[in-house]
Amino acid sequence: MSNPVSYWTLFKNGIFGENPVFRLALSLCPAVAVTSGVKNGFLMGVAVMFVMTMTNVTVSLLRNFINPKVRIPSYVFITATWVTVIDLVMSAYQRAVYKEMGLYIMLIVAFAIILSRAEMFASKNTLLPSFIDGVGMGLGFLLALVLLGVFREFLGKGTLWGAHILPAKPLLIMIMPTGGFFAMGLIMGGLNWIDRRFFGGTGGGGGAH
Amino acid sequence: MKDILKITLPLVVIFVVAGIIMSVTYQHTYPVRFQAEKKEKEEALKEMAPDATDPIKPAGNWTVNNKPYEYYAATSGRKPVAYIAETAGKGYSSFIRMLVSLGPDLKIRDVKILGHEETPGLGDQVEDKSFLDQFKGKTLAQIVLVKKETKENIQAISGATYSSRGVTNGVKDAAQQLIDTYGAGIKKAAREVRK
Amino acid sequence: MWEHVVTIFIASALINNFVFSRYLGLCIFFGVTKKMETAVGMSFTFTGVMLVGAALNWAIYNYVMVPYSLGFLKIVIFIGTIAAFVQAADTIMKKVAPALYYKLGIYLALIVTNCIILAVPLINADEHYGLFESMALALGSGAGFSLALIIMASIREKLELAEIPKSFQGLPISFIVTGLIALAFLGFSGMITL
Repeated sequence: MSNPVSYWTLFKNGIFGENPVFRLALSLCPAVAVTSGVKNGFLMGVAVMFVMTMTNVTVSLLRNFINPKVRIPSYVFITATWVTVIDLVMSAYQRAVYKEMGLYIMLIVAFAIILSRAEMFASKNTLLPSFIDGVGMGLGFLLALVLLGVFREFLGKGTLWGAHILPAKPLLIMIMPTGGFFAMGLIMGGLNWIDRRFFGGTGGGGGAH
Repeated sequence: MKDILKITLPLVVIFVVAGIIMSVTYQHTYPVRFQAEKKEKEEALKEMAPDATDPIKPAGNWTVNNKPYEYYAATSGRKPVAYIAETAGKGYSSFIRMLVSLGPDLKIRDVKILGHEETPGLGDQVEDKSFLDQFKGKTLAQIVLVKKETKENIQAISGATYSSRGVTNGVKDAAQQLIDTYGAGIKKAAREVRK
Repeated sequence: MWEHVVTIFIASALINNFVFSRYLGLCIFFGVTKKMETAVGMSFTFTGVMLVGAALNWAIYNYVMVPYSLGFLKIVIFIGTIAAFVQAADTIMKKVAPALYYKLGIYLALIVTNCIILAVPLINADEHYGLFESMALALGSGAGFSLALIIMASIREKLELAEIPKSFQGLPISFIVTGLIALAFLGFSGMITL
């Protein structure tokens, strides 16, 4: 983990190989909850990316300072701090979005992906790799949310980021509560199919943790 | 004993530092948030009566669905130009909150949806301009929801009948309240002018 | 007052079911519904922790955080309280009821990363619910989550025997099934308005 090539691999890993949503199947709640539009998905992704990167950096810096016996409460506390920060900032500067997804922002603290990266990666690595892992994983999460958002908003409302593209609403159900589950299942299955068909992989998303 | 200290000391340090970070952020964002909330409300009211030159101030409280709401009188050079009430109506899965404004002629001027938790894709169509514009210029007696094409009344959105009814009821209650409060005064004023 | 409490209970269990209409607790939902036994174990543990957690957080919020205007710390304090309670329950259960601990202990550890357990105190705080209303929300959410787990576990046991395209096996098909159940739950939403 000391040369640029492996940093790149580490970065890519979060986006493709171990995409938090589609591959690791972690933190699914926000993936379904806020993606009825591209914009919400994007902002949620940014919030998660921020919390994830900051938590990874903090945990990595403090890894010799925190006693292993109390590491989980410490990690949760660090995550909660950064979530509070982003929650307060968003409630002040992004009012419209905050009204719609305020509850989900607060719930970032309970996202399994953040705690699991802190525990599995940041607590064992130095600052730079942890930072890159946080950005990579966060970006993978962001891309997954945007992909879902595009899929659902385009089919459900015929718009993208609020801009009208289709005159009609082809598949209204996609932005309804149930549509999130369908979109998620279809995209996950589709990615598995692509993986099996073209890359000879076995497909991911076998089990959720 | 030494062990306990070794474990808890770092924890305490983390708690204190985190507490400081959070308080500082709170102190910086709180005024911004407070101002933004205030501005949002003022802008929403202003939108209901763009011709009001004086600041719109609450004129009193009224109750609908067991919850208190405010109503306002918008004036321009002390002359009333609109009466505005915040109101809510029971939709399909939530209360739809809105602002209703009446002109001095006591006809509906405008309706604005403030918030709701109706089904996305179906119930949220009550926010569409084409639905809300139906209310404009109607008298209280005309605010009746029908399920067919209409010019006189309010046409329900197909697939969102309950949500449409929620909005219609909310508007009706607010208009009734405003007419009860201001109607007599206006009639009196009109009579005095005729004399 | 009691009518309101009952309304909250029914609404949180069926109409605003956390899994099917608020999409919370999905990780656990998909994680433990492979087998009926784990689903039932999780249901009981979850509802218990939920009730105690909501009560503790209600007391802390109303008697400590509101008087000292510490509302902005609610995320940290709520998750801290729950984590501490779960840790304590874990230790006590291990000592007092080892048999029960071996059955339900593993679920306790999982609960901290369940968003619903944090969402309930947050909603209680935002809506300014009293103690009974908070308890009704906690119990209703627990019941709703248990219902979701048990429905899903029964379907997934059958799903094992079905022939599904390879790419859709496992999670993707589970998502689509969940979507169908959610569609059915949509029918409840006209029942009561909160």
